[in-house]
Amino acid sequence: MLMLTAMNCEPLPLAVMSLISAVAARRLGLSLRGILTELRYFLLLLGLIFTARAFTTPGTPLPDLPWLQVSREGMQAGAVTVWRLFLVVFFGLLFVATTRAAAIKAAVVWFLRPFPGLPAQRIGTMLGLVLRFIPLVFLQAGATLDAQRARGVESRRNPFYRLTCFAIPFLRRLFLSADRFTEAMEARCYTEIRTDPVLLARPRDWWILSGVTGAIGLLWLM
Amino acid sequence: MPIIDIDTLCFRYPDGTLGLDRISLGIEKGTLVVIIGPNGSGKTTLLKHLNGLLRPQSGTVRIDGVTVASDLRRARRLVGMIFQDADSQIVGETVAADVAFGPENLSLPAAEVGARVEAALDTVGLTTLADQTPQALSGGEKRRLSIAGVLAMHPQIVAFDEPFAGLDYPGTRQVLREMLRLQQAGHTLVVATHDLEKIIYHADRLILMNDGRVVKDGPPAGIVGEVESFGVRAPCVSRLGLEAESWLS
Repeated sequence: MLMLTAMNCEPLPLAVMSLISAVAARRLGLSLRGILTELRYFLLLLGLIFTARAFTTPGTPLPDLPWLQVSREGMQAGAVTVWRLFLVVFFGLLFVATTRAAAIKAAVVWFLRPFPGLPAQRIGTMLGLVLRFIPLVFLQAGATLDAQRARGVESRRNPFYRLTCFAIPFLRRLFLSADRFTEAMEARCYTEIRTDPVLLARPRDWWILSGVTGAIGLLWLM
Repeated sequence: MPIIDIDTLCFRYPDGTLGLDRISLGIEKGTLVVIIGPNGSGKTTLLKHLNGLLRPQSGTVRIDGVTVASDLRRARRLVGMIFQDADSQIVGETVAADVAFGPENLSLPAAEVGARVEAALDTVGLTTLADQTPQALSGGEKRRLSIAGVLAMHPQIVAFDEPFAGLDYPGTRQVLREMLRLQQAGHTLVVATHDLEKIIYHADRLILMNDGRVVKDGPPAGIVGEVESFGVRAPCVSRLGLEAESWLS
């Protein structure tokens, strides 16, 4: 809901939402520097979006730089778009930082259960495993890259050769890990009919939900 | 009656490699049995038959009188398996969630799951790390977490595959201490390793494997002198003609 709202907000509501999320991030102990480092590639993408909007939106040219084909309206529109996208991703970060994978899984299972034909339990488990596996995949990719660098792969200029050198051992390792993981799950009696983590909503959660819904209503009115 | 009863067990991998060749042995309850042998001798293949991760082409494996093939779930509950690579055994996002994985698979009530998690973490001394992410643990702690994950399923037998691989001295001692504690609590331990040095002092029985067969089986003192002819390094103490000593002393 918050993300959808952010995608449709004007600067004033965006400022309010940014302020609230910044306070929330501070209370959670998230460092701005750490967040910006994590999002460095996304920031690059935002830079490209801003530039594209600035150059392609027709409007008044900047008086100080008449030779540059950038419009004032384009820069404003670009800034708002970038702000919205950043806020959406920032909300996502806050969500991940405050919600355990088990709770997300429980919510997915609860949400999908009424739909006939959808294996809610399996989808929930897959989601949990994906979340669990992502850091491992990055670790393995890093280890494979390090091993390649140690043997001077950077001196080879052909990107296809480098990609092949990387992909074959990386994928092999990844599949082996997946096999071992499956075996370990089997050894611990894995089954889809199991005790699920309970989907809990404490009074505080309901208060926050009411607050957020109220705030969103107000923002839409603004 | 032995708690593990293996009768003429044969297994061949899909590529034709011989895994196990007519293995027959019985393991008594409460003993610490060490299976040694060089890489590819069939140690891990044998362990994987104890809880049905691999199925025999011929022969039978009985756990407490019941064949593994006839009740896989029972076998997996009774035989806890600690794998060599602790990282690929960890399923949960926190230490406590990982320990809960097994009991949840047994469809136990949530309160019972919680009680088992608490007890298992307490046994291996990881209670204070319950909310930590497992990736932040040391090698020894990860191995202890694997043990806790298995203990929470209340097994009678715990099978360890190369339990000391990649561990430093303190990590090795932590794991060894847990193993002995399990034995004292009445569990049967089956330990597959090629690193005899760290466990020989505590072993009740030594089984030497080579090319998928059991080539020697008996008390450690009677076999340890012959292991080098089968590609396993004998412990330093026995090479020097000294008495074996515990890594915990």
